[in-house]
Formats: sequence, structure tokens, C-alpha cells
Amino acid sequence: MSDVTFGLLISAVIFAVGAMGVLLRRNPLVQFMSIELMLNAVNLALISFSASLGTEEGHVFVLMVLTVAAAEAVIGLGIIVGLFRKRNRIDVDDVHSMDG
Amino acid sequence: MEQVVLLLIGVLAVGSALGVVLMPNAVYSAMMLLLNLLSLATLFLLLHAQFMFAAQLIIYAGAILVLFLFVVTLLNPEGEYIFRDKRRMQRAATISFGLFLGAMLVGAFLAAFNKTQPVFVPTDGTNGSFGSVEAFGIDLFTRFLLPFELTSLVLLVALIGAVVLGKRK
Amino acid sequence: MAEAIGLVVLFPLLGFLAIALLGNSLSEKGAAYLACAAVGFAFLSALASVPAVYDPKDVFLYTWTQAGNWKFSFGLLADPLSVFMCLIVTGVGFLIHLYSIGYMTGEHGEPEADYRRFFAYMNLFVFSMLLLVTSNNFIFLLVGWAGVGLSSFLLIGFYKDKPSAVKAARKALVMNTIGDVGLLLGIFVIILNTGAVNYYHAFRGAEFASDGGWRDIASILLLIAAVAKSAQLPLHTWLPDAMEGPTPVSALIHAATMVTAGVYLITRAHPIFAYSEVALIAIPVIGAASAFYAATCAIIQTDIKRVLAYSTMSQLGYMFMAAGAGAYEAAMFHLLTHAFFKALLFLSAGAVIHAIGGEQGIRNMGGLGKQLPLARWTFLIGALAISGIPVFSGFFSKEAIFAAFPLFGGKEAQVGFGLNETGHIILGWVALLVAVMTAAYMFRLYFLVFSGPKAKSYQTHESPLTMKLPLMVLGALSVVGGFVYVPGAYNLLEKWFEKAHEYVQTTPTRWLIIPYETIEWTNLIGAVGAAIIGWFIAYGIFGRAERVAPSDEVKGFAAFLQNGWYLDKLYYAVVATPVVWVSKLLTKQADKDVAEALDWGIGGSLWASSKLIRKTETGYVRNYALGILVGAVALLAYVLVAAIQR
Repeated sequence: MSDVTFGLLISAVIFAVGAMGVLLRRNPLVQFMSIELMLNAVNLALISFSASLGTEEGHVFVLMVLTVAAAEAVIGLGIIVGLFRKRNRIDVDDVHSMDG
Repeated sequence: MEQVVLLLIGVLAVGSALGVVLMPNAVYSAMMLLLNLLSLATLFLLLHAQFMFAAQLIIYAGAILVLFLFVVTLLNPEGEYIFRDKRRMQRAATISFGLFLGAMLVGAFLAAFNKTQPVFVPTDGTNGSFGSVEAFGIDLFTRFLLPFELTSLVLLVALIGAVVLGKRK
Repeated sequence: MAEAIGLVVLFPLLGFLAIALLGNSLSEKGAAYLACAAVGFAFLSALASVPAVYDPKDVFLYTWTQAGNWKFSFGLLADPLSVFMCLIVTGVGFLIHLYSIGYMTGEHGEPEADYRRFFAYMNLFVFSMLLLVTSNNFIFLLVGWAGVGLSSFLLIGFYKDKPSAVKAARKALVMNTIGDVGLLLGIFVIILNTGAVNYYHAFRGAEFASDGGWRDIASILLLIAAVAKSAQLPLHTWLPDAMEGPTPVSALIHAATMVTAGVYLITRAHPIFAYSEVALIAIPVIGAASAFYAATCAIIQTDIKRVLAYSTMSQLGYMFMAAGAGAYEAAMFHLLTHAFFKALLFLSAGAVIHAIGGEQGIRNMGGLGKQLPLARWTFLIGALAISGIPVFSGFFSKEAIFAAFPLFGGKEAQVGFGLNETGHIILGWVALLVAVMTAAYMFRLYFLVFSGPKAKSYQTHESPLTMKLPLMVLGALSVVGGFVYVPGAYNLLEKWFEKAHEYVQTTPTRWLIIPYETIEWTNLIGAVGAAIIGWFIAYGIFGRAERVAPSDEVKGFAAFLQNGWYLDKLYYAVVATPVVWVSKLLTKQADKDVAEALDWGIGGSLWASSKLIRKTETGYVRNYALGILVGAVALLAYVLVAAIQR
């Protein structure tokens, strides 16, 4: 199989793995890392398609994704730090006061 | 030769992704993420995206991941185990749907590219070869100027947000 | 000028609003003076609008809606009939307001409780009545009609802590509502057949209707309303009980004005009534029957005000008879004189009641003539007027009515429409008999209250000036008020009502004028003779010094008469009791049980389902994220399947 197909397959697998990681882990930091995994998988897919099409648009898109991921990481980590700063055990399941 | 390298990198990428998700210690997960980023960068290079390879390394591995490591060590968490999760239905549903998602995507790709595979078409662009800095730069600053400027705005907002979040009351 | 008629309606409304809204910040006497001033100014405005009698027109027209053939426009009407009624209502109303200032007080002249409320309600009543008579369309008529019913309810039940008063008020309201329904349905019929609510179009449509059958239906419905409001048979049982209200209320509402609304309606809507054969027979018959019935009941009553109430019903019967025969001018004339002398009678009875501290039973009175001279003389004037003794006003108006019901048959021009000549003759004799009884019970009342031995002795106190003045004015009016018509000489009312038809631009084909060219000696002698016979009867039984000792129990035939031929009890048994029973049943079954079942059923199922749905709101972020994943997977699966099928 060609490079491009391979890249796409890898991307699919990493995406699925990342999705499962978000849902399975209770540590918010690891959840965030799994989200980054998913973003990376998408980047890979974009690069692969860009290679097959021969234009640079995919690359530019990837740059945008990268930028946004960076901004999101900043804010997200800031929120996590704010939420879990004073606790001993950080566990996303501890914040469930908004239940019905 | 190239196929072997490709396969190797692929295995590394998938393996490190699994490692991120499955490792109990958060620092180990971060290290695994680093490995994943590096392997993906290599994949970019193999797909002739030279600039993106460098950008990935600098931005992702060099900035974002470092930020992650800072926060992880700041919060100093204990380890946790997935398989000691109390919410079993969540676990079961997640795994099944996740696997289903992966299978669907992979199957879709394989089915779509059954007859003809997309291949890299090398273009003899007047603005440098494909994936090079020049080509990328020219596209970025002419066709995609507006999105470029807007991302600077995004970064500004993130900056302000970070300042606000970090303030002491 | 004609526009002044708007002021006539406006002043009492402003009076009512001012007293109601200012509440306690207005002193009690201040409220009373304000109310009197409001009605007084209304009277002046009514005088100012007299020129409209010769130039009737609509004022303050306002088109409400126009849809296809239907055009509803509202406004006030200044024409002979409305100005006539306005003058009566505001004039007599002003005198009664003045009287109330002095009457509604306690032992030493301090105002009674709820003084302001009384005057507010009185002004509200006057406003509603004026709206009723000045409207140029059926909608305002209905509004005024309901308004006077409401005011009547409020005023009859003025002593709201007295259970009998509240019951009486309720009875009045229920019976009036029956009339209101009749009026409403009648209006619907009119709209259906003429496409308009204002008088101009409706009456022209009625007068020139090609297919006039609907006029029968409309007039029967409107007749129901008139009967209810004017307390004629069969919707009369509320009037005697309405005497629970204060005496000025009885004078104003249940003698001079509100109960005459029925007569006004018949006169105003005469293009509809005059062309309906059914109505033309029904109205005089109802009037005569009511007059007779009421006179029989009045003879035996032991409460001053109840005698006067039945007397009102009887005189209204006279007016109905005249109006039903097409003699509208005669009916209006009697309305005028009746307002004078009936108000006078009520007010002087009130002076007596007030002087002896609230006692109303005539068994406990007697010989009060020396202590209360003004009340005695004014009552005597009123009694002479109502009996139809010549020179007093009642004589002339009864003459006018008798002219329409000649005792021995008469010239064609005098006999009305509808009933044939025999019918007129019969009703004429009935009317004569009623005149005898009228004089009889009236003088019985006079003798029992003012002369003869005293049943109890009372410490009476003088009435204040505010009470004396209206008595004197009304006394004078009862004497001279009849001279607008002198048989054999002139008839001023004909000039007054000359232009009554100009407004609707029809020729008065069915409007009888009071004849004055010649004197009908048979009627004259008959009426005066009846009065004198009645006086003799009363004098004979009650006038002499010693009289039959009244026993407390009234048995047999007397009890039958005293209880109004037991009609009230009949109504209660036949109508009221089943209705109460059914409504109790409904309250229990339909309201409580069904509503409860519905409430618990719907509410319960919602509650159970929401309990179920609450399970999805766990509060854990991961669960929500799982939801997102499931949704995304489903979407993706759908897209892929769709793509594969292509």
C-alpha cells in the first residue's frame, strides 16, 4: 500500500485510541493528552490528503490546527490547574455537583 | 526499504498512543505522548511535508508538551488504573464504541482505496518543491492570509485568558 | 346643544371615579357633596342639551369595526327621548342625592358607616342609567343595562352584613341576568337581520324590513329583558325584596329610574315592537296582569316600603300597557309623573323611618302626622297624585293612558294596534279596577301611618334641611308636573316628541299621540270615580279612630296575598332548588374528582418520566463525553452506509 493510505490508517487508529482515552481516564491531564492525540491524528490525515492532492492547503490547515491546539492547551491547563490546585487526588469524577 | 521504515514508524505511533492511554502514571503518559509526536513528525517527513515536520517538532513537542509536563509535575498526581474504574458501564460502552469507531474508519479507508490507491504526486512547482518552506510560505501569505491573521487573534485571546486564569484573587 | 349630552354622561362617571379612587383622602361629607355636584352638573348639561330635541343627531360617533355588510359604530344620541330621560334621571337623581346626605346618618347626624361607598355606587348607577338612555347603539345600551343591574346589586346589598340584604341583592342580580341574556340574544337577532347595532340602521332595517318575521323573535327577547328590569310578571319577585336597600336607593332605582328602563327600551325600539303582532298583544297583557297582581298584593303588606314596591310594579304595569298599545307618549308621560310622586312617596316614607329610628312596619306606627308634619303633607300629596285625583300630576298621566284603553270602545284613531277592540276594552276595565285598588292601598297606608291611634310612641327628631328640600321640590312637581297635558286644551308632549322620528328618518306610522282635542268624559269620570271609591274604602276601613286590632298572624287569603301569591316560593321550589342541587353535584363530581384525576394523572406521568430522564444527568463529564462519542459514531455510520450504497 502507498504511503498515503498507510498514513490514513494510522490516523484512524490513533483517533480511536485517543477517543477511548478521553473517556476512560480519570486524570484530567491524561484526558487532555488524549485530546491532543486526536488532534494529531487529524493532522496526519490532513497531511496525507494534501500529499495525494499535491497542494499545500492541507499544510496550511494543519498550521491552523496547531495554533488552536496550542491556545487550547494553555486555557485548558489553566482551568485544570485552577480546579485541582488544592486537592490531593485529582480525579475528574470529583466534579459532579451539577447532577440531576 | 522505505516500506520497512514506514511500518516501523507506524507501529511506534500506535504503540505510543496506546501507551498514553494505558499508562497509570501521568508523567509516563506525557513521555509516551512525546514519543507519539516524534513518530508522527517522522511520518510527516516521509509524506514529503518538510515544513510541517519541523513545525510539529517545535510547536507540539517543544512547547505544548513541555507545558504539559510542567502542569503534571505541579499537580503531582498519584497513579490510577483504568481497570479499577467504578463505573463499569462507562468502561464497557467506551471500549465497544471506540473499537467500533476505529473499525469503521479503517474499514472505510480500506474499502475506498481498494481499487486505486492515492499516491504522492510530485509537482514541479515554480515555487519550490512540494512541502518545502517556500511553497508553504507562498500559499500561507497569499491565498490564506486572512486565516493566518485570524490565528494571531486566537493566540491573543489565549494569552489574555491565560493571564486572567493565572491571577491571584 | 347636542354635544352637552356627552357631559351629562361624563359628570357622574367622573364623580364615581373620584370617590372610588380618592377613597379615604376624601372626607365623608366631601364625598357626598362631590356626588351631588356631579349629578347636579349633569342636570345642567341635560338642560343645555334641550335644543337637541328639535334637532336630533348622533354625537361622538366612533366607528369600531367594519366588516363586509356589518358596520359597528358607537356614539351617543341626543334626541327627544334621550333628553327627556336624562332630565328625569339627573333631576330626580340630584334631589335624591341631596336627600341622602341627610338620610344616611345615624342618631345625631353623623354619617353612617360606608358613607362614601354609598355615594360612589349612586354615582355609578346614575352614570350607567344615563349611558343606557343616551346611547345610539345597542352595545352601549347593553353596557348601561348591565351597569344598572350591577349598581342595583351593589346598592341593594349595601348593608352587606345583613344576610337578608345579601340574599335580596343576589336574587335581583339573578333575575336581571335573565333579562340580560334576553337582551343579548335580541341584539344578536337584530345584528343578524339588519347588520348593524346602531339605532339608525337597525330601526330603519326594522321599519322597512321586507321579511319581518324576525321582529317577533327580537321583540320577545327584548321583552324578556324589559320584563326583568321593570319587575313585571313573571320576573318580578326581586322587587319587593329589593327594599332591603336604603330608602334613597329604593327611591332612585326602584321607583324613578332603573325600573323604567324596560319602558324606555320598548319606546326606543318601537320600530321593532310596533310591527310585531305577538309583542303588541303580549306587552299590554303582561302590563295589565302585573298591575292587577301588584295591586292585590299591596293592599295587605305591613311594611311601608313593600307597599310602595308593589305600587311601583303596578304603575309600571300601566306604563307597559300604554307602551304595548302604541301610546308611547302616554307611557313616557306616566313615567315622568311616576318618577315625581313615587320618589316623593319613598322619600317621605324615608323621613318617617329615619325619624322613628329605622322601624318600617306600619303595625308599629300610627298617629305620626302631628309629629312629622312635612312628611305627612308630602305623603298626602303623593297619595293624591298616584290615585289620580284631578289637578295632581297623576291624574293627567292616567288620563293619557286611559285614552288608549277606552272603556266602551272608541274611535279607530285611539285604539292601538295589536289587540283588537275587545281586548282594549277588557284591559281598560282592568286598569280601572287597579285604579280603585291603588287609591285604596295608598290611603290605607296614609291612614295607618299618619293618623289614628298610636301603636307606639316615638321620640322623633327633625329631618335636616337636606331631606326637607327635596321633599318640598318633589311635592311641588307632583302637583304641577301634570300640566304638560290638559285634555281638551293642549299637549306639550306632542311638540316634544315631534322630532323623535327624524333621527331614523321614518314616518311615525305606529306612534300614538295623546289626544287632546276633546275630552273623553267616560274615561275622565271613570278614573276620578275610581280614585274616590278607593279613598272611601280606605277611609272606611282604616280611617276611623278605632280600628281593627292587627293580629300578628296573617292567615288564609290574606297570607296568600301578602306573600305575593306565593310566586316567590314557587320559583324557589321549581327553579332555584334544582339548580342549586345540580351545581352542588357538579362541584363535587366534575370539579373536584375529575380535576383531581386529571391533575394526578398528567402530573404523575410527567413526574415518573422525568425521574427516568434524570438518570442521564449524572454530572460526570466522562458520561457526557461518551454521549458525544456515541452520537458521532452513529452519524459516521450513517454517512458511510449511505456512501456505500451509492
